[in-house]
Amino acid sequence: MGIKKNKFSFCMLIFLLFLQMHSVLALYEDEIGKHDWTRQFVGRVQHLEFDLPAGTTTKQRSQQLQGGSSSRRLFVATDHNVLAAIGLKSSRIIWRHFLEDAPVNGIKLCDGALFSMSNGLLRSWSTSRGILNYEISVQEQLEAKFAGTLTCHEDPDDDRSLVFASTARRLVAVAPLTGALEWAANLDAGSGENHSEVTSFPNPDGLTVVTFDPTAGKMRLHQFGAESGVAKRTATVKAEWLTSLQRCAISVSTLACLDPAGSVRLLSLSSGSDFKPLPPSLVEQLGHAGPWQSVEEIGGQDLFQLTTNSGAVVAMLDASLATGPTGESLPAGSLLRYRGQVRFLLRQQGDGGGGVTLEASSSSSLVASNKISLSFASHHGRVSQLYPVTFVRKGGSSYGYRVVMTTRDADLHAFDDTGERQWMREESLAGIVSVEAVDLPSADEDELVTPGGSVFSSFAQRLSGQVHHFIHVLQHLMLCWRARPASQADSLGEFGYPDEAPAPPASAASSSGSGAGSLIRDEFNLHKLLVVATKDGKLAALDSATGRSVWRLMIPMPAAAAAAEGTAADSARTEARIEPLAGGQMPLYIQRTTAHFPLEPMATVLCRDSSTGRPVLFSFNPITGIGIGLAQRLQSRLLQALLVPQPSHDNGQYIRPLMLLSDTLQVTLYPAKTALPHGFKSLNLYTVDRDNRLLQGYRLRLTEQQQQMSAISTWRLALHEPILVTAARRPTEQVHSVGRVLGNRHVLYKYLNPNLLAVATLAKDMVTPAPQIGDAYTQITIWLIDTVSGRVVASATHHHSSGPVSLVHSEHWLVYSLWNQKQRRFQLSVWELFAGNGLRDCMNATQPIVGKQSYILPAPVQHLAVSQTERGITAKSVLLALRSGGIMELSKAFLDPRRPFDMTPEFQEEGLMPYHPEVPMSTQAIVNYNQSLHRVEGMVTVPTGLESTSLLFVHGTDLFCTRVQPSKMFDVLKADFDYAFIAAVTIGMIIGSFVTQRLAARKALFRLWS
Amino acid sequence: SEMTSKCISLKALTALAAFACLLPVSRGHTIEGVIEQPMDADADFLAKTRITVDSGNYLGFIRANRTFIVQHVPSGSFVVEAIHPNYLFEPMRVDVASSGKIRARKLNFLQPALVKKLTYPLRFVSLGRAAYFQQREQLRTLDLLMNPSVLIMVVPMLILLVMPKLMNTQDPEVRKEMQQQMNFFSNKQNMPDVAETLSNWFGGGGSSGSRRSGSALKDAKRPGVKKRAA
Repeated sequence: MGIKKNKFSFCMLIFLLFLQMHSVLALYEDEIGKHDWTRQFVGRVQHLEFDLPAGTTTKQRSQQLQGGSSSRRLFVATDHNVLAAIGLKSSRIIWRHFLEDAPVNGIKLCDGALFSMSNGLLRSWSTSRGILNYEISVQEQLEAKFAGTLTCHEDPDDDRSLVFASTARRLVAVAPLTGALEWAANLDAGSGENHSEVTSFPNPDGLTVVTFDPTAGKMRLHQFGAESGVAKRTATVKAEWLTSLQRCAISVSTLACLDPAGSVRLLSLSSGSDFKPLPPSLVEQLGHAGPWQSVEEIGGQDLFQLTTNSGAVVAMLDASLATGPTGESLPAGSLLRYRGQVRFLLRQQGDGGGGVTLEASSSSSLVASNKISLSFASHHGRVSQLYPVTFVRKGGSSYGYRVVMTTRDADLHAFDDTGERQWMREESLAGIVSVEAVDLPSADEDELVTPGGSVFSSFAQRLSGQVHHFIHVLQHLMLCWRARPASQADSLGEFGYPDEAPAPPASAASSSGSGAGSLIRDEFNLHKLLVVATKDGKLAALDSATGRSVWRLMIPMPAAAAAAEGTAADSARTEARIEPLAGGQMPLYIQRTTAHFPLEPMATVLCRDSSTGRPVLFSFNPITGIGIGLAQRLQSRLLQALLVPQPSHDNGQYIRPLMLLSDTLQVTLYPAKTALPHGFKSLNLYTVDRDNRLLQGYRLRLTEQQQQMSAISTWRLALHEPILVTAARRPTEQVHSVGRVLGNRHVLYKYLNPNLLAVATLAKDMVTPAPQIGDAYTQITIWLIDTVSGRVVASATHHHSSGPVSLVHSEHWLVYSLWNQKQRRFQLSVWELFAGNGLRDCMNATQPIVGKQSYILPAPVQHLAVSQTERGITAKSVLLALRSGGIMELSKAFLDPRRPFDMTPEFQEEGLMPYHPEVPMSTQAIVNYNQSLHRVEGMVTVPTGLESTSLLFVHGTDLFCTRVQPSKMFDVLKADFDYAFIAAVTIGMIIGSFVTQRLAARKALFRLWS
Repeated sequence: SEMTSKCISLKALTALAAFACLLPVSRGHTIEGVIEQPMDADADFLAKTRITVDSGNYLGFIRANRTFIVQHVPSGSFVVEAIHPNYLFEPMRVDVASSGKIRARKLNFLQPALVKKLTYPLRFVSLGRAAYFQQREQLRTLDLLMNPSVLIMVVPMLILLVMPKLMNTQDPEVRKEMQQQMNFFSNKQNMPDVAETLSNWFGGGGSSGSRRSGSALKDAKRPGVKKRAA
């Protein structure tokens, strides 16, 4: 039997190798977008500028801005360090640039060009096509991190504009059109202070720059005129109580800062030399004494907005501290913005999700004061930023305005002045942290009956199940029929999301799912739902066939929190929100799949409450996006959470319990009432402690009474080196063949230990002598650790190497990439583990034979992944996310430690390729062709019902999904299969056979006659 | 020279700052270059191209005059790449000395020490459009004819047809030889008729009359069939 199987697998291998060698893994041009989709994002908007006509000053703008804002664009800079232009009407990305890995300090439109300041570089861009005009280094000296500010000074008297860009050390004034340096000024006059933060604001004459040294607590003010770099006024102010300039807001003549107690201190920029508390008269007027949560500048006219813990917002007008400011109290949950003469007041009631009101008012008669309600779905959360723009309508008789805003989930919305939403960009999807693929419910369910019942109960269950199913199908049909007109309206743009109006959850499923009826598993299970969790605490499901969002849901805050921790929230002084766990993870667990039809599927997300840092669990239906129960806050911190491998069949729930191990070694199950699967005895798990560079193993087992679970620590492994990455085999991975047949008909058996963990650590290289210039070398060590015993199965050190390291572990092999510092090139290494020849180590465990080989990778790589198929028969492909934006598919056959230097017939028979130091790069192997994907955060592969095919989902700033076929599509006829040709040949052969038969008969007849 | 010119333009700088400017400060170095726009490139070519140094740690963008600069580059040896989604450019290795001297050379991962100098300022010339796609195979008559298996079949057949024409059939010796060959071929008559077996499989289909006549003739030759006929 074994031999037979081996023979079969050998044949299969040869067959697959044959397929591989003789076919290039490539797409056909007509397959663009057929099996793949891309969605491009920019990220959470941090700076936004509206495009205004070129060459106008503020005064002229109001006259020139003629109602044409519809054809205009807005410029954004985001947390992904992206600078982009977005159509104000179409919501499409017109152009987009990925800047350096440093925060964008600001963007400004000045004299018709767009300016950006990041990484100490001032850049000017053409607004129409995004071509760089010029680039100026603001800094004289290199620094690890640049703070910076950017302002545009427009002289109201003459048409001369200036762009001021500054870092904490140097200020430059640049003529916007030419890029000529007008003047420059050094901000630190060699005083030995380390000013690392900076903020600035234009004043009528020029510019005020404030730099801050957080370590010494010293602040320095500089006031510059537009004409020269000699400071008109310089003052040093002590502010030891201030932690960061981010707790300050600057305006024309005032700097307002929050002290640690939460009270506001004001500094007059023109005359003051010390911070002063809020005048008592103002406190009285405001009706609040603090503590305040945030201070923000809102109108460019010495106007600040103070927010209290309860969310109440107060605006404070502070024309001059001497005369006594005027203040006004605004209702809770308000955002106030000034744009020219128009005042915009946004009010959010409650949590603000679902609907807010916007009030526009002005002293000018041109503006009709009005109040509109802006509605958006509740899953967006509160409004976090408001960007209004005003323009003069055609004819110049009245003002109109547009409002662009970001919500807490990072989505970007645009409304017109009737309160109608124009568009919404799902920027939240640029922040995906975890992905889980869910099989769609099958159209005909087989598993309607739970095993273990009597004949009659089974029969009754079956009948009721069928009836359920029939009703379900009818409902689906009804929904389809009802949703049809809506879906036609939806399909206006490619991804123009006319997001649904706020609706109760029950109908949300139906309205959001205009394609809900089509959410049925296809023949080969290629169509799946990708359930994703974003770093802003939002859940969404993407249709794997189109990329459309099927549902979206904000993870709710646990309800009990507010009452129980009212005091804690006060001290935290930050708004509580859902965030990923430490390390940026937010794991999703599929606790019940769609295979148990009358029971709805269930998924659970594990996240954290930012105010208390306690873990939060929330369960939901991954197909409909409706929450199951409420979010739960756990009382203790978690060491590890893991799904029990088998579902428990008790009371017909089919839930795979989630096992939670707390830091006090308490074991709990989630959901709490779930029983453990029958026959469950013990479970081994491990934790990776990056802070302490420690790996620890635990065993969970049932206590004597079979009621309680207990955990014991089984092993500890201190690595003493920083842990870079870890990788383990996917628990669901299928291995088809346990051995590898060699050319001489011997078999190498794979070392298939399912408990292996690969760890990469970084340390100082003590062996290689340091280079003549630059830093000393580092070394990377790769460890393979058995997570049950804590034994190191294998390890190897790469001298003079550094990260970024990316690791994948699959079947019996390990592939990783690293940077070779000495040779200055990227390197790809592979390990293959084979069962040893019976040698045992001191712990009486068999040692595997490890084959290793390294290759030069000619292109920088950011991530690695491996294809996954249902049965593991298909050859594996390693997927490389290149820095240049391509996702390259590389057959595992190229990464094989057995690739020989000298080819022999035996090796040839085995199908090995001779060793070549460079990994072959081919543009045809780029699966995303010219749709470059920058800033890839992760790649997920999912097996499908077709053995040849694996789904690949790439997330980062952009999303991309495609099908990967490492051995080509051997189980389905090709898309371009020529049916007509085959039919014609067959029919032709049949006809031919008849004709020739007749001819032959005639010939025979003639021969007989002759 | 750039540094000194900047010094001149900084009119209002204090003496101390001017002194600092003249010193070789570690402000990083600037890599300069130009990119050749391919003939068939669209209007967005410049905006979609980016220059990456040291796998994207330092970036350069193309200006309208097709030149680029990459600033803040420390001294060292870096790979400089021009990246465009549709066009391929050959990457280069650029060595930046701490004195600020810059040289460009051909990128060779196999022999990193090999120096094959390239021009500096850098000059990127497109190697052509990236071929992401496979050509669909089309059914062409010529391809079909040039297929080796077809050639194996067709060429001997042609020889068989053409050779008798070339030979002198009047020569009695040749004629005798050919006769022999023909006899050899006619002996093959005893072999089972493929066409007949096939038509038997498909249960006939040609006109019944001709079939009967054909089989009747053969029946005469084969005694075994008579029984069936009877």
